[in-house]
Amino acid sequence: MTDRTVRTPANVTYPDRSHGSALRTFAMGTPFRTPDRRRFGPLGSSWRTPGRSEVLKRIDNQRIRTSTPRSRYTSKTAEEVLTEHTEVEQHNIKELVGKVWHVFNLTPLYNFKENKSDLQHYSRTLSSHIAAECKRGVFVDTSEPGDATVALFSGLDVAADDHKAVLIEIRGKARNKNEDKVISQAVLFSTDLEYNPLKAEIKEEFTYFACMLIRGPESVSQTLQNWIEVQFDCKVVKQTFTSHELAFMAAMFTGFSEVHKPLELVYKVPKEIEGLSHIDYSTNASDCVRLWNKIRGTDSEIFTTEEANKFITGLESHFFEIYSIKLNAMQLLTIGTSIAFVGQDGRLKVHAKSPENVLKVCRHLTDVSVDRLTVC
Amino acid sequence: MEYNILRNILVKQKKEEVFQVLRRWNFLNGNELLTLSDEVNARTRSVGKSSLVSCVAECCQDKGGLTMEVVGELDLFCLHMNSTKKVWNVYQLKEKQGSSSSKNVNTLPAKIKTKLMKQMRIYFNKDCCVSLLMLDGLLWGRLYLPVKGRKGYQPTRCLYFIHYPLSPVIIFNGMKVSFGEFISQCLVVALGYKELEDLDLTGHHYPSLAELALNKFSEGGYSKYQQIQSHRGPLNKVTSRKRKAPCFIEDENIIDLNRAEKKRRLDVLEKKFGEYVMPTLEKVEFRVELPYRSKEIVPELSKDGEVFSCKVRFRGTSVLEGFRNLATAGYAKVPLPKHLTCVTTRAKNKFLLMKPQNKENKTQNASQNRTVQR
Repeated sequence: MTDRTVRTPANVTYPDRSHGSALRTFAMGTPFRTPDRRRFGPLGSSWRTPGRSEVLKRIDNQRIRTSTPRSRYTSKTAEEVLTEHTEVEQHNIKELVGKVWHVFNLTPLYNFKENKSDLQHYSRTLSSHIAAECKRGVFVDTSEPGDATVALFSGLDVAADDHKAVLIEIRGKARNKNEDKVISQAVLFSTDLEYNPLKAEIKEEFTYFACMLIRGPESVSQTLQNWIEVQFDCKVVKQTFTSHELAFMAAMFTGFSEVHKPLELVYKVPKEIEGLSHIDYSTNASDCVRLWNKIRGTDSEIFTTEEANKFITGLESHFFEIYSIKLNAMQLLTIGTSIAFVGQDGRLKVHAKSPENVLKVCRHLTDVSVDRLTVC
Repeated sequence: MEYNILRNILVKQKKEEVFQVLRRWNFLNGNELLTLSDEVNARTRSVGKSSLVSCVAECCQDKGGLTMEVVGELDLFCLHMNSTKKVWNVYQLKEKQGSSSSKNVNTLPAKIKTKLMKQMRIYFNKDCCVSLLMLDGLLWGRLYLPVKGRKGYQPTRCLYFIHYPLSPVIIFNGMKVSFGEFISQCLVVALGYKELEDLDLTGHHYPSLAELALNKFSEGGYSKYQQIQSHRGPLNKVTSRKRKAPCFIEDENIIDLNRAEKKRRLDVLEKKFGEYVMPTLEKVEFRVELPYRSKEIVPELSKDGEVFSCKVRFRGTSVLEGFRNLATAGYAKVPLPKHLTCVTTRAKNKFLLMKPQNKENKTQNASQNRTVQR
């Protein structure tokens, strides 16, 4: 690809770490990331989050290869992948759009099998778990959940190393009505994993999903998380986004050039200022794209954090010239773009109109999750 | 029917306040209230709100004389107690009819009520109901316009208004597009004016809204009323709203290097904002249509000539105080731009900032109340 150092799949050695740990480890303990840069261009190699530059410079010097060997990666470029999207996959990708999801991070799942009988077994255990929780009286205010199904969800696995996504659906009925409808959904996926933190020898036993999206009532969501933790011996952690990450996402999503919704930045005014709590600053989408194109300059494939910072600073300084209020001293609470709405507490709603953009959002979430995965 | 409406109205109040409201309403006289409260207490230790309310409603119905108007008055008393729960819009009455001398102006609620009823009969069906009260020197009104086909109480079809007597300010809640014109016609004729105009001023705290609006219209007969109200006489009930002075901690161990700078900042703010607490506004919105202005990032966009359109909204418990605090704390550069400090004089919530079109249109723009930025 573009600016990666050349990798030779043949002669490579991993740093020798303790054999006890299940995950691949590095000196700094985090996976390989493209240093402070992102790549545009075809889907397979685009839109990565920036990593920690000092780690990466060191790794660059050591010439360690990534989990996915170059040769395997280049053979299946993203465009080929895209054209292969079937009806089912298109439908599945569309399923993610227009709903409010909560984002969670997962550690690798132990003993997750994907043949049909195992999936049915998981469905049954989940249903019985839910029934037990019902009896305990957890679901007082919400509708009574009933059956659950665990199934594979195609369309979100883009790269060769990705595991097929999993969809868990919980059906239930509202208190006074008789129809059964889906009250909660969970999607476990990892789209276009650049680095799989699992060592080769334990890959058969462990499965890694970078990210889990859950929608539905809070109590049902809690039950589902408990079940996953118990069944697969993993840990489910709520994903939160910092102001900086939100600003980065705002800049990135503007670059996708969808203009049906304005770019909305909601800032939280610090507590010591009594009287004012939020400042909502929403700009017309086409004007944002104009600013973005000016900053980007040429159509190069590299995209840096500096450019993203420039974009946000541009908007904030325009605000400052008009109002004399320094927005850069305040925290970003939520961002809303034509592609997605993201909140600091991990809420996500995808608005993107084309499936490629939805996949790009998934890819970005995967990247952020893998970045968060610290290894001891 | 009145029984149900009474229940609906009382249930929205807090349990402790139910008897307070009943006392102010004065429909049940003292003895009846006593017997009612005894009866309620005698039932069980802790009475649930709905059973309490049912008891009260039964008692009222048994007494007789419970009309829709009387029930409407109870609603007004309830509203008076929780006025901040509703969103109020300020309108202006224009072009006073009749002679300008104050002799012919009628401010008796009963007279206004009969006039209003007459007008309403023209436009609306017979089920409509008008209740008017004079509370704290202000005219509170409630118009209930139920849709004919539906049964039961329709609380969304209630229109409340507060009128400041002798001034052109009237504050509405629940004004709908469907009957807006008819209502405005009725009210305007009843109060002796010609037109009703929306002022683009909204909020939860109606005294602040009124203060903002009235500062604009203090001329003629109303200015006298205002002068007396705001005059700091010993009999004046209005509590002082002076700001608390910021205290500088006099500690010799702490050396404040920019004390002069801070003082200068506070002085500038005091000149602009005044020494009184600002009126409460919950939202201030701007629609900005100005070309891109940043000087460091991509300055060539500013020469494009194309407009960078954005919408800015400031939210909080009291946004004007918030502006002042932002400037005090240093998050905003002092002196604050005019469009933030002029909110009190303009009496608006929503502003449009745009470049002036050309010199001829300048006067038009001024009259349409837009803030023009160069």
